[in-house]
Amino acid sequence: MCTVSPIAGGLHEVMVQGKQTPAVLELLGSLGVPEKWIEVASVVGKKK
Amino acid sequence: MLDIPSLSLISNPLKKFYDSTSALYTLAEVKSALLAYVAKHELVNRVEQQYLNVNSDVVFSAALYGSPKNAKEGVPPEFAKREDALSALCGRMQPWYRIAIGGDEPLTKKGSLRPITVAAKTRQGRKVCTFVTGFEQYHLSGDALAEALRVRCASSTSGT
Repeated sequence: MCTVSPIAGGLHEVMVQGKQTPAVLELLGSLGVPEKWIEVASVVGKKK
Repeated sequence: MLDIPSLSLISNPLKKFYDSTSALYTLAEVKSALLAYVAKHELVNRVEQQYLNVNSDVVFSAALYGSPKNAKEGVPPEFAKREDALSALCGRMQPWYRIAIGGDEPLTKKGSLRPITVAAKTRQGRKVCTFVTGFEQYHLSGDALAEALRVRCASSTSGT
Protein backbone atom coordinates (compact mmCIF):
# COMPACT_ATOMS: atom_id res chain seq x y z
CA MET A 1 0.00 0.00 0.00
CA CYS A 2 1.33 3.41 -0.93
CA THR A 3 0.08 6.82 0.18
CA VAL A 4 0.97 10.48 -0.22
CA SER A 5 0.46 12.84 2.68
CA PRO A 6 1.34 16.51 3.14
CA ILE A 7 3.98 17.55 5.64
CA ALA A 8 5.31 20.86 6.90
CA GLY A 9 6.45 23.48 4.39
CA GLY A 10 4.06 22.57 1.59
CA LEU A 11 5.95 19.40 0.89
CA HIS A 12 4.70 15.87 0.55
CA GLU A 13 5.77 12.54 1.89
CA VAL A 14 5.29 9.21 0.12
CA MET A 15 4.82 6.23 2.42
CA VAL A 16 5.02 2.58 1.45
CA GLN A 17 4.30 -0.23 3.88
CA GLY A 18 7.16 -2.54 4.56
CA LYS A 19 10.86 -2.14 4.03
CA GLN A 20 10.84 -1.02 0.40
CA THR A 21 14.17 0.78 0.30
CA PRO A 22 15.64 -1.17 -2.64
CA ALA A 23 12.44 -0.78 -4.65
CA VAL A 24 12.35 2.96 -4.01
CA LEU A 25 16.01 3.35 -4.92
CA GLU A 26 15.46 1.40 -8.12
CA LEU A 27 12.51 3.61 -9.03
CA LEU A 28 14.37 6.86 -8.37
CA GLY A 29 17.31 5.53 -10.35
CA SER A 30 15.09 4.68 -13.29
CA LEU A 31 13.71 8.22 -13.19
CA GLY A 32 17.24 9.55 -13.54
CA VAL A 33 18.03 10.78 -10.05
CA PRO A 34 21.77 10.32 -9.45
CA GLU A 35 22.73 8.20 -6.40
CA LYS A 36 24.66 11.13 -5.02
CA TRP A 37 21.41 12.97 -4.42
CA ILE A 38 19.64 10.22 -2.52
CA GLU A 39 20.06 9.89 1.20
CA VAL A 40 19.16 6.51 2.64
CA ALA A 41 18.32 6.12 6.33
CA SER A 42 17.21 3.10 8.24
CA VAL A 43 15.88 3.80 11.69
CA VAL A 44 14.48 0.35 12.30
CA GLY A 45 14.21 0.49 16.03
CA LYS A 46 11.44 1.73 18.25
CA LYS A 47 10.93 5.15 16.71
CA LYS A 48 7.80 6.92 15.58
CA MET B 1 13.83 11.69 -17.24
CA LEU B 2 17.35 12.78 -16.71
CA ASP B 3 18.42 14.96 -13.82
CA ILE B 4 21.75 16.67 -13.96
CA PRO B 5 21.86 18.74 -10.83
CA SER B 6 24.98 20.77 -10.22
CA LEU B 7 25.84 23.34 -7.64
CA SER B 8 26.29 26.83 -8.91
CA LEU B 9 27.12 29.77 -6.76
CA ILE B 10 26.62 33.46 -7.12
CA SER B 11 29.52 35.50 -5.95
CA ASN B 12 29.14 38.51 -3.74
CA PRO B 13 32.54 39.52 -2.41
CA LEU B 14 34.53 38.10 -5.31
CA LYS B 15 34.82 41.43 -7.16
CA LYS B 16 38.58 41.19 -7.30
CA PHE B 17 38.66 37.63 -8.60
CA TYR B 18 36.13 37.81 -11.35
CA ASP B 19 34.51 40.66 -13.19
CA SER B 20 30.97 39.97 -12.12
CA THR B 21 29.27 39.66 -8.77
CA SER B 22 26.03 38.48 -10.23
CA ALA B 23 27.25 35.63 -12.39
CA LEU B 24 27.03 31.97 -11.52
CA TYR B 25 30.17 29.98 -10.85
CA THR B 26 30.60 26.26 -10.36
CA LEU B 27 32.64 24.95 -7.47
CA ALA B 28 35.49 24.19 -9.85
CA GLU B 29 35.49 27.76 -11.17
CA VAL B 30 35.51 29.20 -7.65
CA LYS B 31 38.43 26.95 -6.72
CA SER B 32 40.47 27.94 -9.75
CA ALA B 33 39.74 31.63 -9.15
CA LEU B 34 40.87 31.23 -5.54
CA LEU B 35 44.08 29.45 -6.51
CA ALA B 36 44.79 31.98 -9.27
CA TYR B 37 44.47 34.83 -6.77
CA VAL B 38 46.67 32.99 -4.27
CA ALA B 39 49.33 32.45 -6.92
CA LYS B 40 49.18 36.04 -8.17
CA HIS B 41 49.49 37.56 -4.73
CA GLU B 42 51.91 34.93 -3.40
CA LEU B 43 49.84 33.92 -0.43
CA VAL B 44 51.32 30.45 0.04
CA ASN B 45 53.10 30.13 3.35
CA ARG B 46 56.84 29.59 2.75
CA VAL B 47 57.36 27.41 5.79
CA GLU B 48 54.24 25.24 5.48
CA GLN B 49 53.22 24.90 1.84
CA GLN B 50 49.86 23.48 2.90
CA TYR B 51 48.79 26.76 4.44
CA LEU B 52 47.87 30.13 2.95
CA ASN B 53 48.68 33.45 4.59
CA VAL B 54 45.17 34.80 4.91
CA ASN B 55 46.06 37.82 7.00
CA SER B 56 48.69 39.25 4.71
CA ASP B 57 46.12 40.38 2.13
CA VAL B 58 43.21 42.48 3.38
CA VAL B 59 41.05 41.84 0.34
CA PHE B 60 41.59 38.09 0.60
CA SER B 61 40.79 38.02 4.29
CA ALA B 62 37.68 40.13 3.75
CA ALA B 63 36.47 37.90 0.93
CA LEU B 64 36.81 34.81 3.09
CA TYR B 65 35.85 36.01 6.53
CA GLY B 66 34.28 39.43 6.16
CA SER B 67 35.84 42.77 7.05
CA PRO B 68 37.54 42.91 10.49
CA LYS B 69 35.07 45.48 11.84
CA ASN B 70 32.15 43.16 11.17
CA ALA B 71 33.77 40.05 12.56
CA LYS B 72 31.11 38.27 14.57
CA GLU B 73 33.22 35.49 15.99
CA GLY B 74 36.34 37.27 17.05
CA VAL B 75 39.47 37.67 14.94
CA PRO B 76 39.62 35.93 11.54
CA PRO B 77 42.36 33.25 11.30
CA GLU B 78 45.87 34.08 10.12
CA PHE B 79 46.40 30.90 8.17
CA ALA B 80 44.11 28.51 6.35
CA LYS B 81 44.45 25.35 4.34
CA ARG B 82 43.20 25.56 0.75
CA GLU B 83 40.13 23.43 1.54
CA ASP B 84 39.19 25.62 4.49
CA ALA B 85 39.71 28.80 2.50
CA LEU B 86 37.53 27.43 -0.29
CA SER B 87 34.71 26.46 2.07
CA ALA B 88 34.94 29.82 3.83
CA LEU B 89 34.62 31.59 0.49
CA CYS B 90 31.72 29.39 -0.61
CA GLY B 91 30.03 30.07 2.71
CA ARG B 92 29.89 33.74 1.80
CA MET B 93 28.33 33.03 -1.58
CA GLN B 94 24.72 32.38 -2.44
CA PRO B 95 23.94 28.77 -3.28
CA TRP B 96 22.13 28.10 -6.54
CA TYR B 97 21.53 24.90 -8.40
CA ARG B 98 20.85 23.89 -11.97
CA ILE B 99 18.64 20.94 -12.82
CA ALA B 100 17.80 19.44 -16.21
CA ILE B 101 14.84 17.15 -16.60
CA GLY B 102 14.54 14.90 -19.61
CA GLY B 103 15.72 16.77 -22.65
CA ASP B 104 14.50 20.15 -21.45
CA GLU B 105 16.52 23.26 -20.85
CA PRO B 106 18.24 23.28 -17.46
CA LEU B 107 16.45 25.37 -14.84
CA THR B 108 18.59 27.49 -12.58
CA LYS B 109 17.18 28.11 -9.15
CA LYS B 110 18.21 29.84 -5.97
CA GLY B 111 18.79 27.80 -2.83
CA SER B 112 20.60 24.58 -2.17
CA LEU B 113 19.49 21.26 -3.59
CA ARG B 114 18.61 18.84 -0.83
CA PRO B 115 18.96 15.11 -1.41
CA ILE B 116 15.88 12.92 -1.50
CA THR B 117 15.52 11.06 1.78
CA VAL B 118 14.47 7.42 1.78
CA ALA B 119 13.98 6.29 5.36
CA ALA B 120 12.70 2.99 6.73
CA LYS B 121 11.09 3.54 10.10
CA THR B 122 9.19 1.39 12.56
CA ARG B 123 5.68 2.50 13.30
CA GLN B 124 3.16 1.28 15.82
CA GLY B 125 5.36 -1.34 17.30
CA ARG B 126 6.71 -3.69 14.69
CA LYS B 127 5.30 -2.35 11.41
CA VAL B 128 8.08 -1.04 9.19
CA CYS B 129 7.31 1.73 6.69
CA THR B 130 9.44 3.38 4.05
CA PHE B 131 9.15 7.15 3.71
CA VAL B 132 10.31 9.19 0.73
CA THR B 133 10.64 12.94 1.21
CA GLY B 134 12.26 15.89 -0.52
CA PHE B 135 11.50 14.88 -4.07
CA GLU B 136 9.69 18.09 -5.08
CA GLN B 137 12.88 19.92 -6.01
CA TYR B 138 13.49 17.22 -8.62
CA HIS B 139 10.14 17.89 -10.28
CA LEU B 140 8.75 14.54 -9.23
CA SER B 141 5.16 14.36 -8.09
CA GLY B 142 4.13 12.43 -5.00
CA ASP B 143 1.22 10.87 -6.84
CA ALA B 144 3.36 9.65 -9.72
CA LEU B 145 5.88 8.15 -7.29
CA ALA B 146 3.16 6.50 -5.24
CA GLU B 147 1.57 5.03 -8.34
CA ALA B 148 4.86 3.64 -9.61
CA LEU B 149 5.69 2.20 -6.20
CA ARG B 150 2.26 0.66 -5.85
CA VAL B 151 2.91 -1.32 -9.00
CA ARG B 152 6.44 -2.35 -8.02
CA CYS B 153 5.80 -3.20 -4.39
CA ALA B 154 2.62 -5.11 -5.04
CA SER B 155 4.65 -7.69 -6.90
CA SER B 156 7.37 -7.93 -4.24
CA THR B 157 7.22 -10.58 -1.56
CA SER B 158 7.34 -8.32 1.46
CA GLY B 159 3.96 -9.19 2.98
CA THR B 160 2.11 -6.41 4.91
